[in-house]
Amino acid sequence: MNAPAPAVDLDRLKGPALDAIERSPRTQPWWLGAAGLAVIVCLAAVAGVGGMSSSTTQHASMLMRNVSTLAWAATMFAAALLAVMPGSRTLRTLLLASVSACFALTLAAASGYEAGAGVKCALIEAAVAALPMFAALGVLTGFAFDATRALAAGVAASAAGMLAVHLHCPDGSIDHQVVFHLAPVFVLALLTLALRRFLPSRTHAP
Amino acid sequence: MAAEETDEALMVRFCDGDAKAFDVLFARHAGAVRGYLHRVTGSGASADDLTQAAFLSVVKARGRYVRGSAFKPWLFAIATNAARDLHRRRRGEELSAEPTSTETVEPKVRDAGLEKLVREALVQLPDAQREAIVMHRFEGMSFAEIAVALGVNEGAVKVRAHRGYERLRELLRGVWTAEEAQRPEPHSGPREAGGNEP
Repeated sequence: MNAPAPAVDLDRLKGPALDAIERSPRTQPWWLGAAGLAVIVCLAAVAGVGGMSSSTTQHASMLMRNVSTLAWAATMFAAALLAVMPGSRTLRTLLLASVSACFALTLAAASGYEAGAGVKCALIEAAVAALPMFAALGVLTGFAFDATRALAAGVAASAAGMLAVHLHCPDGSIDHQVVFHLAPVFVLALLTLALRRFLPSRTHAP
Repeated sequence: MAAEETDEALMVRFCDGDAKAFDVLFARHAGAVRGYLHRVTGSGASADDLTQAAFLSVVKARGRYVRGSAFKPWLFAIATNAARDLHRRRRGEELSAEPTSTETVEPKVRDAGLEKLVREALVQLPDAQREAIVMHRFEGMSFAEIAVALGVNEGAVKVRAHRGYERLRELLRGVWTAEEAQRPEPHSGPREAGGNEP
């Protein structure tokens, strides 16, 4: 089973790598991409929250409102970093699992007040998430395809949108929360995964 | 002097801007990577393309190399991802159409018939089993290293390798004895670095 010596000129396979070294002789640290993505996600969230009026009728209490808001903000930031951090698959898996805690907190914070809000919330969430999602996809094409990275990026982007409607929407009914606030988070994360799978990778490094 | 350095030390030097360290890493591993990719894809032309892509990825993504971590599993993870990407893009058409290599230079094999049979049998294995077996048997990597390269736990690698060896034994019944299939290979990467044609 021992293989024979190859009759292949390996040096000719080195050309593109040497060209790449010549073009960019300096190593770009991974955290630059992570920081860039985190900034874009945070700016989108700030624009989404600051660009609309605030409502408190959605939440049962200020404490629950603040706790759930903090949970989504922390998830958004952590997801943006973990989507790009080398290795860390276990952390990303834990993060994705922790999103269910955010869902639970959101529902626990709901007041039950019905304001008749509809699909507009889902549209706002998608609109706020759009720019961070495309930015994340751009960054992720620099990695080999990894479903957990794509999902984390999708969660980061959709959490920015979620924060906007979480603080803006007056409707605290469970049905509205599930269908027009939380389901879009799920859908946007899956959409990010689907788009990432479709896009070619610029490098195959994990 | 440089040849005595570990892969990890060379990679750190490369990340710090020493391009010559990359030359040493390439010289050490290009043969093994190409051989691995040849066995995984079943195509010499694809193996050449993917070897180029893998080392280009090492250069472009060197900022993501975690200092202190083992280099070889990282490199083989990149090579594996490159092969999977090709497989996904071509939806297996090329791979299934090229079980026999179209090498322009026919290597002088010790037993060309056996080599061809093994190559064809490997191509019939599921990707996950083939990757584990090629890394373990032909590249001399430990299960722990393979686990890092494939991004799964060590137990999963052992299961894949076990099932792969079982399937290989079925496919090569009468050609490759069970004893030979299970014969432990010395974990010596350098042996494969110079001779990795399937």
